[in-house]
Amino acid sequence: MGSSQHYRFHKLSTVQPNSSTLETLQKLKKLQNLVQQSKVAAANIRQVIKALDKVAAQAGQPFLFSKCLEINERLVRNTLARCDDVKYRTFRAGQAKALLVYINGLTDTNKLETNVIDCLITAAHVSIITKPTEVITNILIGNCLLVIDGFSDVLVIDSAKYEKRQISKAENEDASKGPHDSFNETLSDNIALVRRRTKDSDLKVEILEIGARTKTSVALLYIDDLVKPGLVDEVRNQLLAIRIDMVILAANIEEFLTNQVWNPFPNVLATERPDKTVAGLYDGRLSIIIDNSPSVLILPVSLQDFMQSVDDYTTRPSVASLIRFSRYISAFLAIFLPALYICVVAYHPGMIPSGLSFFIAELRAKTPFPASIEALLMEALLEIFQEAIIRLPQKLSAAAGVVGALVIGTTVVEAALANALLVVVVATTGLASFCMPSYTFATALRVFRIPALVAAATLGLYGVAIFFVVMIVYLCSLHSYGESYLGDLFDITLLEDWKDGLLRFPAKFLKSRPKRLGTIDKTRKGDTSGKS
Amino acid sequence: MANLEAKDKMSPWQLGLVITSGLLTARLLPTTTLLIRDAQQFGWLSSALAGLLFYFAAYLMIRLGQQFPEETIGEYVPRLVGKTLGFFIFLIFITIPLLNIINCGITITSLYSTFLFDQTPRVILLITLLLTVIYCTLQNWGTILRVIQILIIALPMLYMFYSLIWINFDLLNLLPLWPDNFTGILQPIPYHTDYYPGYEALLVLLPLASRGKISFARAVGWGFLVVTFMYVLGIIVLVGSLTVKTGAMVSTPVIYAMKSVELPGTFIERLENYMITLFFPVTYISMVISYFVVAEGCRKYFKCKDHRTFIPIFLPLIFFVSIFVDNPERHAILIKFSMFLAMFFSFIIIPLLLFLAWRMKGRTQRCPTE
Repeated sequence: MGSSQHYRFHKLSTVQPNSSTLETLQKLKKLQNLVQQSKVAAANIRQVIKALDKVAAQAGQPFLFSKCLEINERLVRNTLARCDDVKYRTFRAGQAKALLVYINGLTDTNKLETNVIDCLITAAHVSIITKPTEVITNILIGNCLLVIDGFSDVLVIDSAKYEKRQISKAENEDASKGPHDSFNETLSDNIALVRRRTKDSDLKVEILEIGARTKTSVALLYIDDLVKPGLVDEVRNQLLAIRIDMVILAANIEEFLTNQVWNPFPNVLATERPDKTVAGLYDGRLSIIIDNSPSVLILPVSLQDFMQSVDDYTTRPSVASLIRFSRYISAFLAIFLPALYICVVAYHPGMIPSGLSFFIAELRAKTPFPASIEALLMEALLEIFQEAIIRLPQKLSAAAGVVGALVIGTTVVEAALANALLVVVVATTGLASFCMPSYTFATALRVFRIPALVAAATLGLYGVAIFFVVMIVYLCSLHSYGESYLGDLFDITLLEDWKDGLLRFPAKFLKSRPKRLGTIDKTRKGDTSGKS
Repeated sequence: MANLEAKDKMSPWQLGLVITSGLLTARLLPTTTLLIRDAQQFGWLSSALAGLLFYFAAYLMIRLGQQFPEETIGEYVPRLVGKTLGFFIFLIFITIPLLNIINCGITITSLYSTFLFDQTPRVILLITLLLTVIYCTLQNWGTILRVIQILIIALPMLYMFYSLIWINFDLLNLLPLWPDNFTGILQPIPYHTDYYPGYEALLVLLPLASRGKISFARAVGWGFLVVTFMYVLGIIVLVGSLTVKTGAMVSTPVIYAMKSVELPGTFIERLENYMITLFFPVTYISMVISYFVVAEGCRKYFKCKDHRTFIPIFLPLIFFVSIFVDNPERHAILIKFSMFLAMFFSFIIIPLLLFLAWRMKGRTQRCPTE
């Protein structure tokens, strides 16, 4: 388990007392470049070590086993470097030294005890600890302590028993044709769910401890030879720099991973689906699994990642493209539809046919409020109903939905508080926001609905145009680890990424990883027929 | 952050896109009347010739920029002509994009206040527009570039909308096919500074572009070609659907032509409103590029760290000049002034600077030790 590192920061003037600001900045920039270069060099060295190990090996094999246990251990450790979930146990089996390697969570320890350890020696679950803090932590975890008279070292026996939820169906991200298993609250189970989907030795799992009091285990997953150089270090440093006493939700970590704390749009993708996590890892992203949380964080992400769902890849590309495009339209409607209603009704009635214009005027004549107030009132009602339905138990929420629909649909119109057309507009707006695959993203859209309404009520279509442009600028100015949040959507230097952006091209065209993520290996190996 | 710094650079194609997106603005709407009045049925020919001419000016600017890679005009002009004259040339240079912002602002707000509003004061429209432009210009170039790449989607949409006027097209309106007055075709070419504004941005944006497989001149050339083709086709269809007589009489022929389009059996009416709305992002892009060019040019000239420093400085100037130009007569004078300044800069100053740059380079090559 990795321990938190403490950094000490000094003022630049303290470190460089005799330099001018410009000089110091130049030196700092040089240092940054050197650090970046060293990271690239480290990645290259790792590749060289791998290549060297391969020299004596057969074709397609990473290395060749020797008769010496130490050499064999080094080879396995090199291949599975930075995989904190891989456990190594050395023991003596008779006269010979032996090494046991297994993955925590993925290996059935009962089978291991019965089939292997009992035959040899019971040592798989025993470790020697010298540090008192680690001893105390192990007791609190539920492990057994064995203190023997005459020995200063303490034996810790892995005997912890957790009450945990079984792996069940994804509740918030259901897919019609995709796999149905989802993450639960146990870290080792969640890592195992990812590991089960890939036999890649380059999948690294670094386990860190965050939370001064809770000491929550947080796993950082990535594919070593894919991820953009420097990204892992940056995320790791951000995680290690978190100063908080408790981590009980994934959101506790999520908020520390952004510099724009007031930004309503999520800058990491939270998922409960292992397949989505693995797909993200092979795109060149990182995953963060937090113990006691079923939400796994994927980063870096941009707006278009929140518009994609697993079903896009289980349906035909043409259908998936149409659905995806309709999601973008829905996102637009979720923000701007009530605003456009205000524009047409209050400012530009001439833009719609005269007959309809008169009909709307007739409807509106029955209500006492101006169009903007009427729309705001309906928006407030919609928000209240949405919140009520989410908070209520599942059985009651359906009933509340019916009551809500009846109250909004009929009573409000009958009471002449709003006209029927506005009810249709607000209901469509609500439905449009429900189309979003990510709930956090949908809530962010809701935040912008009221300012859009105000802009429309103040300046009509001009106000909506202004607000639209402001939103585009705002979304482009957001960054997730160097990537623009919206700007990559139509970036002409990222034409290859367009194949899996606004539209979804057939799989045989998707030969490259997202260029925007700056992966080391840009092409996906193997062809679509499954041959590697 | 990891590699955000690299994103401030653009490819030659992106440079071409930026320059192209800066060309088409709402400024062309009132000028179209003058074009049809002088060139009559051959406005398209006049636009094609103007496209060629203005591309030539842009090409000269690219050649000048290539003499001083990684430098903007404000940095190398004092070395070419001396500090005082260099300052004046730089002043003329930043006045051109400033006038573009003012002209765009006036045109777009006038359009909105004329066609979409009855009572909202133009000042309110103008100040909101300028604040929106400033909000974008305050971002780094990487962000601005991405905003441009998204908003430019409005351009094909606008053109598709405009294409609806083919419904009223009548070939007879284009007759005669052979011009008898060639002077009339050449006469409105200078007015095309409203059709092709903002390419002066090249003098500041070139150092922000990285060299690629395609040359800058070719990338920008493609942009000019596309825009010229759009104008040529646009004027043919405009004259074909309106007649020369009507086109030369109304103040904004494009909007007038759009007004006369009726799509029977459809939900949509008053198509000109949609068109004006689509003109907004297209014009906005040009304003943002111009404002950035002014701020970045000043940053380099005055050797400041950040272009944001200069953004608030020019805001009062733009606002008060825009407010002062509150009637068509003053606007016509402003357009003429902008035209003369742009022509003077593109066809007198730039060739001169290029000549001096070549001469200086020749001297340096002859006496490398000096």
